[in-house]
Amino acid sequence: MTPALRAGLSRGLIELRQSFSGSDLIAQVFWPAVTLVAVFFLRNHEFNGVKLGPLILPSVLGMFVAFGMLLVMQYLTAEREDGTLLRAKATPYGIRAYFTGKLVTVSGTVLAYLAILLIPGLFLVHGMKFPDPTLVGVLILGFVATQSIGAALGSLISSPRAGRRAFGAA
Amino acid sequence: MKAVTVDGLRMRYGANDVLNDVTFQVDSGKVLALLGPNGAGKTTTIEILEGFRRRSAGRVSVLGVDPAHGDERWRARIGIVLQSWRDHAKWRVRELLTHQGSYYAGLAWDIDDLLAAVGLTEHADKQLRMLSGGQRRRLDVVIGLVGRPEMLFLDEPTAGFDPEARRDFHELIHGITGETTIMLTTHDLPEAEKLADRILILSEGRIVADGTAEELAGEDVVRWTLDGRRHERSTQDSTRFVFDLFKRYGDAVSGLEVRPASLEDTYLTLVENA
Repeated sequence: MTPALRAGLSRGLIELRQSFSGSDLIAQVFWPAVTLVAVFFLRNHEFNGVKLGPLILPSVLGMFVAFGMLLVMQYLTAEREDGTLLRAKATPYGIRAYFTGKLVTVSGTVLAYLAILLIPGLFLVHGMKFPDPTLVGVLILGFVATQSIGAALGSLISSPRAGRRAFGAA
Repeated sequence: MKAVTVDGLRMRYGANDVLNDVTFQVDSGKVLALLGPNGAGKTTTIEILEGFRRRSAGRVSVLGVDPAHGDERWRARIGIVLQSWRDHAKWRVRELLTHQGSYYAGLAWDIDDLLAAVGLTEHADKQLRMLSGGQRRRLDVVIGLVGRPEMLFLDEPTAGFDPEARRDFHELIHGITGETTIMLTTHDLPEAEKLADRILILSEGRIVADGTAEELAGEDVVRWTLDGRRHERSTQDSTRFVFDLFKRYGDAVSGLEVRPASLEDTYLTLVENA
């Protein structure tokens, strides 16, 4: 493992732990929990003879994977302002480690969201095919794809506020 | 050996020259202080040398490499302390310092020694956002030092320090001079006098003075009264001059005043005239 990769991994794990401790934990759990409640109430509704549960559960999983894109953008714009990126630039292989770290932190965060949704979801919603090996591949591909797009978009946006305006979110 | 060579450096934004024909050198292992009013181009100069900003013209070399094309190996030989940093607010002091040290395989200083050197040992487990301004700044300085850089850039390192922190910082810098070439900007003239082997004064993007603190400070001024008349004389060695004065005229001399040379006077004159 190259030093940049190792440093990135350790950065990512440290920041992942930070984002799930203290008051941040509540903010992290809030949205997936609310979504789970919505899935619970909608699961037995029917649409053209199809139950909504098995339709929306995989869909919200996909939505939270794509949410990784927004997370990367938010991190990037905020950390460009406070000097984190500049510190990475001043460090040998710092930028590589920084982006590796972000991939680890954001993927870990999204995995936690998915677990909050999927573990109770499997008991609530019937008719899902699980475990399915395709899921793993789709998830990994989804993480890398959405977060790369997030990094590219994040570099185009000038300030954290502009980022929030652009997506009218979070 | 020259650690830094700058020749005819120019930086232009639109039609504005922020730096104009800046030329200077820094010897290996020496400390150079860059003085000048706000907007004189100090930070721009430092940022060009750090490889963070592309220059418009001129030749620049830091540790034998053009900073615009510096690779990661070059980067590892350089320590940087920027003017203000608010990053890594949730990280703990020791955690961040250890992490930054991990980029310099085997080269980094002992983390506990570094923390002790800047008096942060008791704050090692605090989150960065809980530190005071001075503590935060001291951490920034040791992060710049953690990889044993051959060249260290410090942009206003002691802004916001209390007198004790300032003294500790000066001791820290004295401790590493000789091995490390240091270039720092400051608004504190006594600090420049104390730390720097050479002082460069920048005003409106030009170098208006370059020399040791003694050279720049100029001469002492001696004033005295003799036979009811005021006399004034500038001299390098005022003590010797006064001694000779008394030897010659004895107690006929009165109203003696000696004003030592001061970097501040030179600085203010140069900056006002520019």
